[in-house]
Amino acid sequence: MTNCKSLLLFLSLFCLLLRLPAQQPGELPWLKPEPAKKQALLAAIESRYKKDVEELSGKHKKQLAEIFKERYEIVKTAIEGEETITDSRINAYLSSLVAEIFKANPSLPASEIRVLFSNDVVVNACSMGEGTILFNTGLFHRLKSESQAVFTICHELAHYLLDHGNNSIRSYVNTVYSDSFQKELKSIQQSEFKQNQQLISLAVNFTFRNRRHSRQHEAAADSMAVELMKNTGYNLQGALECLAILDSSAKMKYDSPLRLQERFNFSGQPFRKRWIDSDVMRFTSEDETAADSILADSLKTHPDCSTRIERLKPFIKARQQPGARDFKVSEATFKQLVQQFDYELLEHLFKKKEVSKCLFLTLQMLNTHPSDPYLHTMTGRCLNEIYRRQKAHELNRFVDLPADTYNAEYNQLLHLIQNLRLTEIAALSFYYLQQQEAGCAAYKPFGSVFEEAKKHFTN
Amino acid sequence: MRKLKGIFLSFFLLGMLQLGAQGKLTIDQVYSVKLRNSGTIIEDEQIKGYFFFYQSDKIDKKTNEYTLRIVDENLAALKDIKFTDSKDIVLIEASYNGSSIVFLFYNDKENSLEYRLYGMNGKQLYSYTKILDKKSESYFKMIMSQNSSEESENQNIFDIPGKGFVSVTPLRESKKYTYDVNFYSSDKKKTWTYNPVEDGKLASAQYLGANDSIAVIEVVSKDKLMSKHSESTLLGINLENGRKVFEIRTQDGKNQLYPMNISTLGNSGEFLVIGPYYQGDESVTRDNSDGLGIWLMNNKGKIVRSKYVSWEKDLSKYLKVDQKGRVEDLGYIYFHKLMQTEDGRIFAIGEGYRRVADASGIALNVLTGSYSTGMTKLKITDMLMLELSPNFELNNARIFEKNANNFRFSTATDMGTPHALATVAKTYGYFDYSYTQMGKGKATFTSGYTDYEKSKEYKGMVFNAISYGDGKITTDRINLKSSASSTKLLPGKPGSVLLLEYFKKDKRLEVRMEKIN
Repeated sequence: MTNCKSLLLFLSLFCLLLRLPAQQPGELPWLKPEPAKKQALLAAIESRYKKDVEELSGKHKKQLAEIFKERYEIVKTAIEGEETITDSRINAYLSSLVAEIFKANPSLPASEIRVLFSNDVVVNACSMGEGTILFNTGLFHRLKSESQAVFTICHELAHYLLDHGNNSIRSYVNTVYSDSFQKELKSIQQSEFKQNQQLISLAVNFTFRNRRHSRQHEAAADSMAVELMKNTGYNLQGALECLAILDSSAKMKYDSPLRLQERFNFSGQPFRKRWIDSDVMRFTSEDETAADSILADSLKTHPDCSTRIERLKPFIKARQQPGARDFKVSEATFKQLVQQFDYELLEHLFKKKEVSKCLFLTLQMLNTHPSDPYLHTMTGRCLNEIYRRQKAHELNRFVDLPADTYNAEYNQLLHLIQNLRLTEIAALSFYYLQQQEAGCAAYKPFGSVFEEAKKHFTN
Repeated sequence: MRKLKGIFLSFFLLGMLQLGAQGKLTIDQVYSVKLRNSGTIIEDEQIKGYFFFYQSDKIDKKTNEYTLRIVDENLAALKDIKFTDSKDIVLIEASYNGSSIVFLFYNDKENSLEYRLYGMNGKQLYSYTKILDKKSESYFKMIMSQNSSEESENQNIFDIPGKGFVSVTPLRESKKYTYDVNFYSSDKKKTWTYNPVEDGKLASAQYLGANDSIAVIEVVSKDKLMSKHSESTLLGINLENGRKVFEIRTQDGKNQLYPMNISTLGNSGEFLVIGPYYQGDESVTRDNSDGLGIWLMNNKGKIVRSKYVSWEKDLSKYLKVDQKGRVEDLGYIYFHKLMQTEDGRIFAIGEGYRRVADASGIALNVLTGSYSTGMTKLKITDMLMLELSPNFELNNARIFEKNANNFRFSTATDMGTPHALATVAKTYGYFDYSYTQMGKGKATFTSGYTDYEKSKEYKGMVFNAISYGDGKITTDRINLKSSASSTKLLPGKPGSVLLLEYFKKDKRLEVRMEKIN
């Protein structure tokens, strides 16, 4: 009974800790990087890397070690560059979700696993193959329930447990450095004609094999993820919902027209049609042949999400448990993190000098939160930054250049940035912030951003 | 689009297979692609994209596989066109007319030019071949090697929106130098050639532009190769059938006009011809011009209206000009570009030059007694911009100061006029002027020139831009000395430059488009 009492006390304290107070978007408790946690993570990945290399054996040990080193460098750079979130408050929540999985699957090697949030706008998560699982905030902020997040973690855990990453590396090395492959490469190298044609054919065959395995890995990880999830008490429907979210990842979270002509139209600086004009040279897409379609499908690393959903449906139906829940740890915390990551992603993009992306997401969010002082201030920050960088002739290190491959709304914004003259950027920033002054005056950071815009405008 | 994606995937794949340890072969170590050349794709004097011409494989002893990669003005990859052809081809120029792209190839072995037209689906529409005889071939090669054109301009092939392309080819027949004009249709397989009537003169032709119905060519001709006297003729050719519409001497009373540009704004039945003018028998290659001449002409080649802006009378209202037409501190003016903007204003961008005594050349000749070094040199001075109203009145003249450059020539050039030396300087790229880019709809333009600056704050090359837009002239500068080991600046899309920075330590080349302020 005593034990039970102390457990209840602990759980209620834990939930209190995890419950973030309700805040205005502009007053969020921003992420706090924790150097000690960062050092601990670096030490852990280094120790794992060394162990992995020590355990290597066989004919292609050297080549495997090279690839392991590259992988280690990628994870190290992400941690050092603070792509990965070390804030203990946020990690505590993520750890509690992971703990639910380990509690339901006690045989899992919990000590080998590091699940981390990665501040990345891409709707994805990945298992690095050496115990590190990166859960992009770009995926998390689109989720609707803990069960969807738990499926994501279980899927990446499955990749680790099934050793997919290392198997792919070994398969690559064993093929490319095999005697037969090397012999074929040498023979191509010595041939006088059609060297590249032969190489492309060799590479395509190799890729077909590789990608086929990769698609098989995804199917296996989905199935195993459901197995890992089934005893957690989380709703297995979360798996299907999560895959549906991934399927629509090309669509932005706050997908809506930017309405640039309305937003940047001021009596002092009317919107000019030429700002969004585009007459770039374009090629029409060709009619896709059956062979093209087969080639494109064969080169996919992942099966289509719709295929994955259909494959999982009967599997889930057979394992669905009564009373399964969408939330177990804290619905409030989940929702606050989803909201916080909207803003963290903007801050992170701005810090990473991805100003055009930051401005785009900010303007889209403004359609949903039209009186958010943070978003108005961020719009001004982006325009001021564009002004500064254009003046120094380094703008295109901070913004993307237009391309038809981008989302049409984003591409229109990129054309706007390219077509604006320096004085027009200053005017846009000034008039925009002047229009928002009444609603944003109480938001402290607004003042300095407006002051900077005034300075640029009167220069 | 999916096919393109597939191609990129295979390139990505090849990149992925780069990992490898010493002693073992990797695919990328065997795979090799040679960049033969690259260049701009021009439409209506604007850069619309770039091409990169690669040799992507060797098929047999005589044949290669080529990949022509086309990227747009923002450097976004648009298309890879693969084809097999002779190992002897080179790609000279490309032009875009809004609905198709032409690539001009030269086959060294066959002595032929091939105009290959592609539709905007990346498929070849038509191909037109022109065989050059031996003499024409060497003359063509000589003209190509001089390559004095700006990087934002084509020399050989020009777009006619939605219709096709016009090409002017220098030719040699016996001892005579001549030319022909060709049109290559892009909407159906149709071509015509205009051959000038043989009059025994040496002629060179320059495409000036076209309106809806005629192409206008300037022909400069003289009796003998070394003749001091040359005359200019304006030739109008019907774009539909290649027939001559008019051929007139660019003589208006006592004034000779040497057209540099035509403008087709406004009434489509009329066009403006702009260029320096000379009085009497003075020659463009030997003498200083007397001013700037503007003719409004109709499609029949008749001068409807003319205006002559004289250095002595008109320019002297703004700058101090002596009787010889020299501007104080600048010297004579070499005009690089004349253009009319959407609002009807006319601008002229020029650069000053004068011949001065070369102290070191004189000293060297005295010391060595050989007299093998020139004793004069050409001094290149400041930039000058003239602005004329839509009524052709000189409205403004502005000097843009820069550091002077000196160019020494051989003793033979001590005998030449400064104007003849300026023509040589232009051919060899000795002027600081870089290029002029017209903006969309000719509403704006940017002219660029380089300078070497020595100040407390900065020491190194500078790119200066003079821009026009919204009725105002603005200037900007880009320091070309940076943390990069070397920096090169090329013209980009309207209002932008392409900066190429090489970082030797990292073996990294950064290419980025930057806007001019």
